[in-house]
Amino acid sequence: MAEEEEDLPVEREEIEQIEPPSQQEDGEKEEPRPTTSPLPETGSSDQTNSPTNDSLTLHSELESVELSTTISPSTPLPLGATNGSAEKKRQNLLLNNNKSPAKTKFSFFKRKSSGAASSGALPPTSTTGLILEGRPKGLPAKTPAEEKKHQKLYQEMIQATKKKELQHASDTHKMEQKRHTKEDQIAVAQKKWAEILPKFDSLRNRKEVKELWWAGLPPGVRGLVWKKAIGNDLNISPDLYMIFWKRFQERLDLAQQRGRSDSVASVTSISRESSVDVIHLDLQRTFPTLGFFQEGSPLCQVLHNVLGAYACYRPDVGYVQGMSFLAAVIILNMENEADAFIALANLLNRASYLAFFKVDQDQMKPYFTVFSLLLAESLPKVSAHFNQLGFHPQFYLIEWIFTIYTRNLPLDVACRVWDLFCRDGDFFLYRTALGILNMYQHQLLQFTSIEDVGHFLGHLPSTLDSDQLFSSISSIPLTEKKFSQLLTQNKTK
Amino acid sequence: MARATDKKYDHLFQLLLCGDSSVGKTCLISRFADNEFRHTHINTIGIDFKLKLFTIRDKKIRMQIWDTAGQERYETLTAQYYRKAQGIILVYDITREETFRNVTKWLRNIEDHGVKGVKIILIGNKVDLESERKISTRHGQKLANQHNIKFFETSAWKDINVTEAFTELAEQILAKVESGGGRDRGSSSIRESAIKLHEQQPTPATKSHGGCCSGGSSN
Repeated sequence: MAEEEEDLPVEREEIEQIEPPSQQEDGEKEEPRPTTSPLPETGSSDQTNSPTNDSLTLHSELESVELSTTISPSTPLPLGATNGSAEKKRQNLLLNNNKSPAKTKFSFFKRKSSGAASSGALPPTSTTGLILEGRPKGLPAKTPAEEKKHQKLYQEMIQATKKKELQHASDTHKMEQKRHTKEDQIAVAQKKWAEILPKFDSLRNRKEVKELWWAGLPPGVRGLVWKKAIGNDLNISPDLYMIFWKRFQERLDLAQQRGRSDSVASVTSISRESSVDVIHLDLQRTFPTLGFFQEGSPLCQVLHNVLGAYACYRPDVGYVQGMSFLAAVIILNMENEADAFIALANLLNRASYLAFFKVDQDQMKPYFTVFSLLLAESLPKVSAHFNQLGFHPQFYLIEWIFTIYTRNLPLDVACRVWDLFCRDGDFFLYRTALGILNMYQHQLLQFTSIEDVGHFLGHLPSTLDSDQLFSSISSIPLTEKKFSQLLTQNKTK
Repeated sequence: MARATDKKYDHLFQLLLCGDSSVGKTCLISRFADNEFRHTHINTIGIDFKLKLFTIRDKKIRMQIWDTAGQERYETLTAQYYRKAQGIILVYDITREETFRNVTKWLRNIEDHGVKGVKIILIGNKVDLESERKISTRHGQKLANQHNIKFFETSAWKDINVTEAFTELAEQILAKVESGGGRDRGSSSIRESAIKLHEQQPTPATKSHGGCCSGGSSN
């Protein structure tokens, strides 16, 4: 096309460009309107039509957090901590959650997706039809050859637009189909899980259950399965949570009286309980884009409670940055505050997590060493490239492991990693790390500086596809046995 | 932006930012390196780094800026990076007294873990929140004078004095390197791979413990 245009006499081309006959243009612009105007409506009445990746990601993010936005407590008091029969109620609530709470989620979602839908689906508005018109009076008329050429050009443009629209429609259709399939799968899985849950302990190691688990837990049962899978080896009761919650409140009051001034002095003491004073700095820095933990929001209060109570419960560990993300993901999936606390405390009680959150270099070291070995073994090229750049696993693993991928993967994908982390234990986090590096192998090998690799791994593409990642993970043949063997070997060294 | 890594540069400088949690370290770096400011912050966990290429006195400088987690608990983790830094920017928040009081503690840390004669700059950040100011400019300046370091009051949000502060530090390092000061440290016992990017190094992850600064200038 560009070539053909070059054939045109220069002065004529210029004239065409500066000559927009106002009437015709108006007429032109009117046309596309009917096609554009229904779009925002479609987007708002049914979020499924949103064609962009962004809106899909947002959708899935919301899906994974829908429970807590609706059922979570709106008072600062820890819910369920005093309620002994909360368990049954919660189960009922959760199993029925697809009905009522979804509405709330919907309205929140609608606004965003409609924006995305309209911006993504605008049909091309143009004034290209103008080239079909004759020249205005006072200018030399088009020659037949030129007119023919313009007609041809116009037809080509129309064809291109049509093709684009068809492609777009087919993309939308495919995406919709995919979503429907996914929704159906979730509904089926949800049913299956409802049957499994009462006999969870006896069924959890069955092959079919494990396979079902691999596909990711349906949001409706996620919190329940996590709770059961994480367990409560520490035997923390809701009452015990209340005790630490009260202790946390006392500390807060004390700090307020002192104007937070003494907190610094006591930081160096053995007890790290005083770290409760810095939690407030991180609350709003936890998933800031989701907006759930903004100042004054009920979930922000819950997050503060859970983290504060934990720092009082384990003064030897205290509050450590990164914990807020773990607690937040748990809170988003378990609506009961005491349950969230119990899950967090038990999770952090795992040997590897204690090592990390005590920021104990000597204990953390074996994990990095083992990971380096595994990386060299399973992805030798990446390993060699990273070594050449001087890019150590610490640069990315610390954040990945400390926050269990919640900051680096889209939230729905991160939740699926959590699902499998609950199923398989710590080693799955390292397997995931290898899976990520495997998936982006080609890109990673092209980076020539540690800043570029670091930036990429710290901000993984938001379009990252869950299934793609999990098929990459499944191609990493790492077993728990091997991982723990390596770990033991490297610990004794 | 950070992609111009294959270009030649005259010097590679490594800077590190430290200071209490939430004083604005990451925001200062974003402002300096990318000229952007985000209102939705997330805390830094462990260590992060950014690259900035710029020119001082006709010298092309490749600046690797290390961002550290502010929480005291991460000190054991971040301390190992002090050794690599030729320049350190110590930040406090002019609206939070305790962050200023901790400056002395951070200076001690630098003394303990940093290389001898490392260039330091003190920054009082968030001057855009003038109405909430707790630490006067005079106080900040006085502390800086006591330790014989340069002092800047900045706002990462309003883009006040940020480039000036980073440039000053780069100037100081450059002066030192050109006078041969930077070479001395280059000959110190242990070499760490992260610095000389184009050198081959079969480094296991555990290496970082023994890290020490290598040359100030590399080409």
